[in-house]
Amino acid sequence: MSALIKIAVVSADLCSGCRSCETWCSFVLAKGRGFRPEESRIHIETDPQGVLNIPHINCLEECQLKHEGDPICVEMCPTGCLIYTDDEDLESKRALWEQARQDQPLFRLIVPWKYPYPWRPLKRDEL
Amino acid sequence: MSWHGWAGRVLRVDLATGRISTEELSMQKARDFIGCRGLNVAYLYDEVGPEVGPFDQGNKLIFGAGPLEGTPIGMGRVSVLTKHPNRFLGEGGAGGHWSAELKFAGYDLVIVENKAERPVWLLIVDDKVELRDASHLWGRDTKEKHAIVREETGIAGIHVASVGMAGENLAANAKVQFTLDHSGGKGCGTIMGDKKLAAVAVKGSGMVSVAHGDRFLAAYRNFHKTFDLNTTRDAFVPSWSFNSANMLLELFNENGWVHAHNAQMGLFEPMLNDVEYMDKYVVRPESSFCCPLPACGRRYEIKEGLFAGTTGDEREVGFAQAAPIVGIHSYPHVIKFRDMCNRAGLDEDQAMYSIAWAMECYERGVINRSDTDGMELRFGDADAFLTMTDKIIRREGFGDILALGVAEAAKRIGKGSERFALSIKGKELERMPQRNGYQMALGLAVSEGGPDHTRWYPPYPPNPKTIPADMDLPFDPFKAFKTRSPDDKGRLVRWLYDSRAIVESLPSCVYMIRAMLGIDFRPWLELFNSCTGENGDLDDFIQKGTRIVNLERAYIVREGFRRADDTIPRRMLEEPVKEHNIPPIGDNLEIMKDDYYQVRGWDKETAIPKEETLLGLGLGNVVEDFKRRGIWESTEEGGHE
Repeated sequence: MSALIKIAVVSADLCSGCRSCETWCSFVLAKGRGFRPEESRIHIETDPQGVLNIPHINCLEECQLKHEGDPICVEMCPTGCLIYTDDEDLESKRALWEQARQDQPLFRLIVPWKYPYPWRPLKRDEL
Repeated sequence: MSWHGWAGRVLRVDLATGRISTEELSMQKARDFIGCRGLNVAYLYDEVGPEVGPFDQGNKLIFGAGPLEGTPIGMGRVSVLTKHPNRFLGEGGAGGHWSAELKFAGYDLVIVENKAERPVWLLIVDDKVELRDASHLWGRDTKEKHAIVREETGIAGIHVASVGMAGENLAANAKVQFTLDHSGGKGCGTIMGDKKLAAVAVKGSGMVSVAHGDRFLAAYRNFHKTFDLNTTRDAFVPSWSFNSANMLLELFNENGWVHAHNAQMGLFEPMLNDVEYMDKYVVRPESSFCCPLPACGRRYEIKEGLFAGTTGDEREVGFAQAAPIVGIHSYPHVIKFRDMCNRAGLDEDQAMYSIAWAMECYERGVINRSDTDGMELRFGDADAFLTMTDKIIRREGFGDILALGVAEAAKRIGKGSERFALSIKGKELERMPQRNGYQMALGLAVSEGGPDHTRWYPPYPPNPKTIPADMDLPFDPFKAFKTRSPDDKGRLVRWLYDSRAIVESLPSCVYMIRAMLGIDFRPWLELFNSCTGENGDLDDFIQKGTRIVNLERAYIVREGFRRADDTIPRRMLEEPVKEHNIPPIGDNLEIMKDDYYQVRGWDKETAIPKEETLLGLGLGNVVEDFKRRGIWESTEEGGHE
């Protein structure tokens, strides 16, 4: 049985520490009046040596600013570290990412479902 | 008065008296110069005149955030400015999170005045600002400084700007190091060290206000599409996202742009490559504040073998590009080099080009073992490269000479070695191709801050055919984008300078000026207006950039810089790249300079802005200043190299 849909972290190894989630979350909470990460429902903890960024999520309500079904923290996460899903899907995504990063070093940095590789080839007149 | 975007406050810190004060930001200055790089120079022009020497009490060090800093557009960009040891603008930007924290703490600028008698560090936590004794920080490397500050304050999310041993020992172009591997401001680290300011730590908890939230969000989503790997129309975005400047080596090699062996050669084989780098050393992504690129920075780690345990973040520097300059083929050595430079706050370019110059001098017999402390100094000797880097940091033996910067070192050694010293205005080159990228040659030559690609980036413009027809560009892209022709470069480089000045003043990261965002400034205007509540049009917006560049020019003119100082190294002017049959740039540089000064409204003979040009930009204070000092009557010819 799958648990409730929630915001989850695929792996702290995928967090770039950019704090997009923190910053955009605070924008929603402030009803668009500004950015104040201190008030955010997500916080990125960075360990002293900068070795790992750990997202802490403390969100209990539905996001008021969704895009294609995703809350804004998930939408703006550049690596795909944050996902909006249920427990069962989270486990299968984690397994998928583990395999992907073994196969292709690029996926140490991003998740394969957000950015299917190879990317759309650019047409000549776009370059 | 209510401010949106801008915090509206300037923090002043007098290191001599310990006095700390805040003042309201001048609304007029904010409107005229935006923020960050622009506001910094507005304050420096008014407060640090030519009577103040770089190492005098009166020189100031300014850290600037801009109105869009603290929003996701700002990307943590900070601009640091001071009067460079060689008297031009010691300005540089860095990413990270420091600048965003400064905005959350409620400040647009921090102006550091005078010198401390003993080392101090500055702590800024919202309204609580204090100077603390730094005797325990002095002599430590930048990563140690960060760790100590974090432990001492107990604030996990604190961000630290610090100097390392290079700055403390006054190496010519020492930089300021921001948490943990971001750095910028060549020469600012030197002045920060001279002021005995070990670190500036900041943490904020306030809000950066946005005037029109809905409009800002819509503008941001539009902006964001440019960097989505699935939707981007820019071939560089994917490769840049993962390989940063490393991926440029192949391109540089194919085109004869690499500066192999101190730019004696344009080809470097066998080369290091980005795939090998990614595979062996990259462990996870690392980004600046709200960077939309998945991994413009990457955490690296040497897991085994030589220098095992060395870790850090890599961004722009382009390991693979660094290696050819001194001719080495070992990734562990270039990674270790980066780590040494970041810990010491030593500018990589200063170290690389100084050591490469010394290697060339050694191989040509201009210097010998008696000059180099008994060392063999030849291209390709990776261990010697690291040993000499360490000597520069410690200012030991021959390293003490190289720490002066390559131009000054060449003056001391003489014997024709000036010819191999690759620097402009006393600041070493970056790894930019100048013989065949004509706009790059012009861009570097006329820079008010010495070699700094961020001022006229990017060198890789979009296909002119893809530029929307409704855009009214002030140059002809079909002519101007031709790399090896002097045609229309004046108007192109003027446009690049003006528009990049805006982006660096908002601020945002120059790597965000990708695809059409480098050409079409309407999206940037909408981000600025919706955030700050301003309502100027595009012409007014671009004019702010023009004003910033003119004020920067006025600053260095007042310091005595003239047309002759706007040049590139003789090697690029006079020597071909034999491997690729690329002719030297020769007289084309002077032709393009004529063109540039004319489209700028600057005097062609002197490169001094004309009175009507300054007045047209609302720079009446500069006109008064120039008249009082007799700048337009002076017969100075420059010559600051």
